[in-house]
Amino acid sequence: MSKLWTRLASAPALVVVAVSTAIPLLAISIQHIASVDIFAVWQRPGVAEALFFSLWQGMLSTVLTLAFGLFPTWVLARYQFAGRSILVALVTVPFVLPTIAVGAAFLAVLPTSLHRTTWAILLAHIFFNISVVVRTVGPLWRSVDQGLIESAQTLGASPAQVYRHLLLPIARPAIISAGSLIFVMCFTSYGIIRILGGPGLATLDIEIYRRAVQLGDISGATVLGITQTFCIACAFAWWSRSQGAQFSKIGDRNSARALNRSSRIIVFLTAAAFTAPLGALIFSSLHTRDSWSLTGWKVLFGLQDIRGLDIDLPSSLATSLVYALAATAIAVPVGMAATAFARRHWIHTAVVLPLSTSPVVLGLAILITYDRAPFDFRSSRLLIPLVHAAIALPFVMRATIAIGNVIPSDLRHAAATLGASPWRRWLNIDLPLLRPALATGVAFSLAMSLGEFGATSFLTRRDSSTLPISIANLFSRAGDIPRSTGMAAATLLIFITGLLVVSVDRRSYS
Amino acid sequence: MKHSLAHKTSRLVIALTFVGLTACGSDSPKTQELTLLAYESFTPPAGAFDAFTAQTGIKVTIALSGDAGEMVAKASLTAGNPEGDVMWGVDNTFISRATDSEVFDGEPVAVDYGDVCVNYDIAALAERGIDAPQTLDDLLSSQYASMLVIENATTSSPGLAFLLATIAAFGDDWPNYWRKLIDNDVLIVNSWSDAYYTSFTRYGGDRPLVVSYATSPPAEVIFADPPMAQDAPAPTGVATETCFRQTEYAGILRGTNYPAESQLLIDYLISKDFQTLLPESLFVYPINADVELPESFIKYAPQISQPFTLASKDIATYREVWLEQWSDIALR
Amino acid sequence: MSLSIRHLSFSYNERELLNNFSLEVASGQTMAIVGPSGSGKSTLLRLTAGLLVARQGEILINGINVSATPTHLRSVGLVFQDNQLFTHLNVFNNVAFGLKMAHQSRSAIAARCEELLNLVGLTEHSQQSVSTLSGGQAKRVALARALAPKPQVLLLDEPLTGLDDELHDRLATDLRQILQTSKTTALLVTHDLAEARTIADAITHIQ
Repeated sequence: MSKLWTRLASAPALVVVAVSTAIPLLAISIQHIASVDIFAVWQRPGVAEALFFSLWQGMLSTVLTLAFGLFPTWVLARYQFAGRSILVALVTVPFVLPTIAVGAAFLAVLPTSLHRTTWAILLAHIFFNISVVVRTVGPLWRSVDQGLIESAQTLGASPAQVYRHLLLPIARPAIISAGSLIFVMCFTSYGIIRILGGPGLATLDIEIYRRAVQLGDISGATVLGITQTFCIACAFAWWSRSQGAQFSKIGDRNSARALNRSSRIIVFLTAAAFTAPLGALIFSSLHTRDSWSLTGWKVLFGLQDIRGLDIDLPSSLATSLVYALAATAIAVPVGMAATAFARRHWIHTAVVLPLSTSPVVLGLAILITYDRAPFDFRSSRLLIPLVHAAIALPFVMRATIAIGNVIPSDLRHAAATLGASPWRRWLNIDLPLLRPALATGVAFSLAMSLGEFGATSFLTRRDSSTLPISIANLFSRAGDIPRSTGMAAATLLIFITGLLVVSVDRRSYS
Repeated sequence: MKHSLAHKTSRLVIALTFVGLTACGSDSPKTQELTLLAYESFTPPAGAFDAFTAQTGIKVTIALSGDAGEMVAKASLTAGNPEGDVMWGVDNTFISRATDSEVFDGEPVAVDYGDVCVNYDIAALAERGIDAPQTLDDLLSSQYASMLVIENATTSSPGLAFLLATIAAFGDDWPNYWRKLIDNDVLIVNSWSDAYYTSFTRYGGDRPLVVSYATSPPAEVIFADPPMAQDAPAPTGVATETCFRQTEYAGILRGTNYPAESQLLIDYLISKDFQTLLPESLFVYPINADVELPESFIKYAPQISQPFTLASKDIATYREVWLEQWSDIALR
Repeated sequence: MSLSIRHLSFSYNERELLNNFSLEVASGQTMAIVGPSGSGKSTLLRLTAGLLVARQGEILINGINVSATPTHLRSVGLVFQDNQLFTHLNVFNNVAFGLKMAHQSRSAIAARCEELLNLVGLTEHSQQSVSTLSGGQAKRVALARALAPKPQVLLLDEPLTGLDDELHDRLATDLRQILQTSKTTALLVTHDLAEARTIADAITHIQ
């Protein structure tokens, strides 16, 4: 019974991955790889450089994001202060921003000397991905019993030693989790590099786009795309193996404390770092070259008609929200079921496939796989939420496993001896403990879907544009009004996402 | 298209697991509905197809996907089994790839055109006390050193167009021109919006020259905030001898179930009714010579009498070689 | 290694837990504080360890006022009621934790751990995961861990609560012996007078 449950529970996750990614990748490989010389593709100009650049900037970005991210993560997890949930929302929001909008905002606050340098890319990657650390490691640290820290202190551990010898080792599985996801995000970085990087800097994802779209070399792009996916999957499988640590202390005396001096500094710096680019964005939405103006906002809300600038805000907003809710409705239950029951490491590797696949290759693969009735899903309205859900799945699962590991096994055993079925056991014991993780899962899937640009723009849609795509269109027009309207739309997207994140968090931590 | 065993098996798996998708998706068009595939930034005014529906009883659904290049890549893959009935907006840098992969049923027709040219910020040049450039050779002059921002030809459509203009102008000698241009400290950025909204002086950058469109000046006037005075000149100008002509095409997709209706739609796309809408919504010139240009175009958009052009066939053949060569000179 | 607590007052959420409390523990002596729950016993230990800061009064260890010294510099060991073992470490590394914090050499750590595991009778369990230990074994690890860095004062918070009777009695005897062998100055809080009598040299009642 229990084994069957375990298998059934991870099935939906595997179906989502299979339908959205694995089957299409298989189909496009069969059609397009057989005829090409794989090694020749890798020897073409630009390809090796792109791989090398992807690798080193991905690793460096990951290390830096973890190094900088763990401080606010600790403060947000362990201290109670006014505006805490707003700060959580603030660090989560960049994750969802359409890169096109935040790129402009980021450039506005970045010193000119850093423009189009690798530094700009690294900074942006830290800025974008810190929420992965906050939301993967945070719930775990939140659950650490204060008594553990106190016993380390009485054993002579200074604050730095507590961090180094207790908190870091305890959070190791979650940190590896977060780090591996951040690495995938940075390795496959596309928008940030195109906007903030100089033209000489190209990741593998950009090279794939160039091959497929500019040069029409679908086979070459497929070879690179499949190799990229394969490499990341291997790295992931290796990471998952090193993640066996189990620990079972869950907090009962972890009452949140008031800020002290150093934590206050961290809160201040984090708030400053995250408000500055968003502030610049708001400023640009209200300011045209030399004067203040509300025109961008008026146009956005349809209060002012400008000839040649048709924006249907309600419908693109509705489209974005419907996609986001549908994606969340798929990703959260599917992902949580898979982690709650199946502790198999290979599932974690499987679910990262969609995220690690180039959107261009994925789009093309889906196109050629589902192209005949009755499986002509190419313009199905479920396709985009399904792809969004597939991309969000690893985040949901990582957040759940990070905290799921710390559920005391005694509790489960106790429930089992009382005759509770696995399902009831999960519902009554695990689920309440999983609430912070659940909140993270919901926040991540909403966010991933709301801000997703690559696959959404590549798949054909009959619905109206999503908000990120409307923003991109506005930024492709010359003139004050399209620019300020685009900035206003980006600001609106930030606030909607921030609001969703705040309300989800409030529910979970109440 | 090959139909291997794995491909069929994969279909079977989906059949068993995800029947739900079918119910919600792929409403195959009824007789009186056509799907028009277009790039993401295709934004005709609301109701642009009402006249067509009124005349023929046929409804038009617009399906959007990616930029023009992505659209062609997708269309080439699905040639013969298209996602729609008619496709809008393949430009002359991509059209021969589309026709080579037999995307279209019959010949695609030109629907609009526009020019990619060097634009200048009139006020910024006046401040520096220098005249506006007019030709590609002007750009090599030392007085324009560190003044021009252009887009990466490998990632941006206007960037590619500018490269093609130089190839059309200088023939085999174009790499030399580019070496000199780089020596004159030209700035290369990845996208049009980066060039225009970050580096161009008009939006706070430090480069008064930018590769943009011949129709950018009228857009600057129409979208000026606060609005410009009635008879004020456009704030930006166009170097009229630096232009590359981009022509966009539309065609009936091979494999459509409704070729006759699709032909009606093509006819409508080049009709005066529809073409009149183009200038001020897509900022392109109508192909239909009967269409009167709007005042903003007449007043603010320069007529480009002799734009550079290249045969689509040559672009398709040499694109990869040219881009490699260009990358070596400009990026590495 | 004497401990003096002088005129200590502490209140939490406007409830007074300690008022002008004073206490002397002579070097090497074990003092038990006995009182009902809620009488401020645990608070007294946490104040002594520096985990809480008193409103008034001072704490002297060996005659030196440590009231403003942060916990990790006070040289006090604390055995928690619920042990608070580090579950990511095995038995040996739990005991070695404090020695590592003091940057002792690897050989010194090994020797001291062996000595303590021997003292608490867990030599054979040195590489075991702490989550697999029985209640009595876990308590012994907690005790060994607290003793390892040779604290000037050892604090024990209800160390035998929750153990079954037989184990309780055996451990109480062992504890007394261990404290005497190691000549540790110790402060024990408990609600169980009999337990206090077995372990401690002197008893103070608290209301």
